[in-house]
Amino acid sequence: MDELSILCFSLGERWFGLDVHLVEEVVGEQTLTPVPGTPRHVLGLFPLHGRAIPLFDPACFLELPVGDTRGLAQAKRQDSVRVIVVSSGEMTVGILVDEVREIVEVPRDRLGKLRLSAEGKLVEFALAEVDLGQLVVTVLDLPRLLDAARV
Amino acid sequence: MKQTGWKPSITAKLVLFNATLLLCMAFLLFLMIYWLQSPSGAALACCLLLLLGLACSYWFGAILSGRLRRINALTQRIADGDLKQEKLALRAADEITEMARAVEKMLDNLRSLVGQIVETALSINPASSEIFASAKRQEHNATEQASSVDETTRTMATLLASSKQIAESAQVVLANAEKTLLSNQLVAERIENLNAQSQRITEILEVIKDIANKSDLLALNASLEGTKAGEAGRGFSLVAAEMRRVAEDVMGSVKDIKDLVSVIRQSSHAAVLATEDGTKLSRQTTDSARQISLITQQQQTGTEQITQSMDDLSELLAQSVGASKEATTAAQELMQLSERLRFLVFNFKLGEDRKAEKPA
Repeated sequence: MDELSILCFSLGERWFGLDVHLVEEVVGEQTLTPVPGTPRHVLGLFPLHGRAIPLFDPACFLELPVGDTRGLAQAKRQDSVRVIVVSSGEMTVGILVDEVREIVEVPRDRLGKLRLSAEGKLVEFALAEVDLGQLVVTVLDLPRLLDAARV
Repeated sequence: MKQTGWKPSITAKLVLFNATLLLCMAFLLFLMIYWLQSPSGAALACCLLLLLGLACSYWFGAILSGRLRRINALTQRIADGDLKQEKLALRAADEITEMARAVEKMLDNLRSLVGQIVETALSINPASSEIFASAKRQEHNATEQASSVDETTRTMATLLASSKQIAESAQVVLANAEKTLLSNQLVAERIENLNAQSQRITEILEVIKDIANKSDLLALNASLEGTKAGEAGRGFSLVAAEMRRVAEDVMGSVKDIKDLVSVIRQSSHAAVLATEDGTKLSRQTTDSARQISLITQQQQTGTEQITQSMDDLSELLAQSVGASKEATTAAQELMQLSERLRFLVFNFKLGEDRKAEKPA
């Protein structure tokens, strides 16, 4: 395929992208049950279609400097919590994000190297970077990320 | 006059004198007749003796009338008002001397009496002048007081009129404040109503927002499936994208409406505050108006009392003025009388050291 369909979402000020084929669906606010003894980036379990899905906080795991901005962004859009339900291998995980934009078709030759500063663990899990005019999207390597974050 | 003992009287003197004369005449006659034994000589001697007797009578009478004349002169002087002291030097102890003494005594008494009158007149005159001046001053004062009281009464009347006006105005203000209070209440009710409606709007907006949110998710997931389906799902993805846009528009409108509702709420809140202020002001105005009413009532009562007192005072002063006028008239009469008295006593002469001043 010469085109990659990516779903764009934001964590704080930064925009990221995921391969569409990995995404099951996008859901809103969920009833979360915290699980004690799990790492900080695992926020708990929520029910979806009869299954218990773990909720993963990528901002925390990737140690992104979202901090206060995230809080503000969340406060702005407290009515629209977004969880992207992804599946990789036999794992199904819900990823907590700030905002979900659209699905973009990106030709493979437009995928470039990372130019923006990548602090923390981001550099490990970033596949490429795409300039969409309005946004600069960092495409993530989801299987690798989930593998590293699994408990 | 008591007549104890033998007092030489004119009658006695006269009888004695005549007897002596007659005896002398008789003796001489006898002598003539017996010694000269000439009847013509005796007749001549008789004539001579007769002439002698006449001369002596005349001389006796002259002395008598002379003494009487001196007494008469004194009494004339007294009658003219000259009370200078004079002692008639009459030695003979008879009725005429007694009369002279009596006249002298009368003169002394008169002089002392008149002297006392003069002194009194002298002292009355300045005193009566002072009384007159003082009575005039009192009259003047009483008149001034009366006019002051009049002015006070007039001022009181003006005060009464203005406090009546104030009371009326206060009534009007009270009525207006109560009307304002009522209309404020109405406004507050309307705003309450408005708040309830905007609350409803907010509730409905929440529902709409929820729906839009769900639509957004739905459209997103539809788009996802469409993309995953590849070529077959392209049309589907487009439709889903449209739906997302609709959902976004709705969310945008909901936000706008929410902002508007917020503005309305702020305005109505401000209006409530304003009406509360207005109500507070009206209440204060009502209280003030009531107070003013009360005070003007008290003022009215006070003014009426003062007017009454002024009337009483006026009456008293009128009486006082009347009395002062009478006193002045009396003092004037007194002054005139004392002037007359001075004029009268001026005519009496009392000697060098006790002259009555010439009346002015």
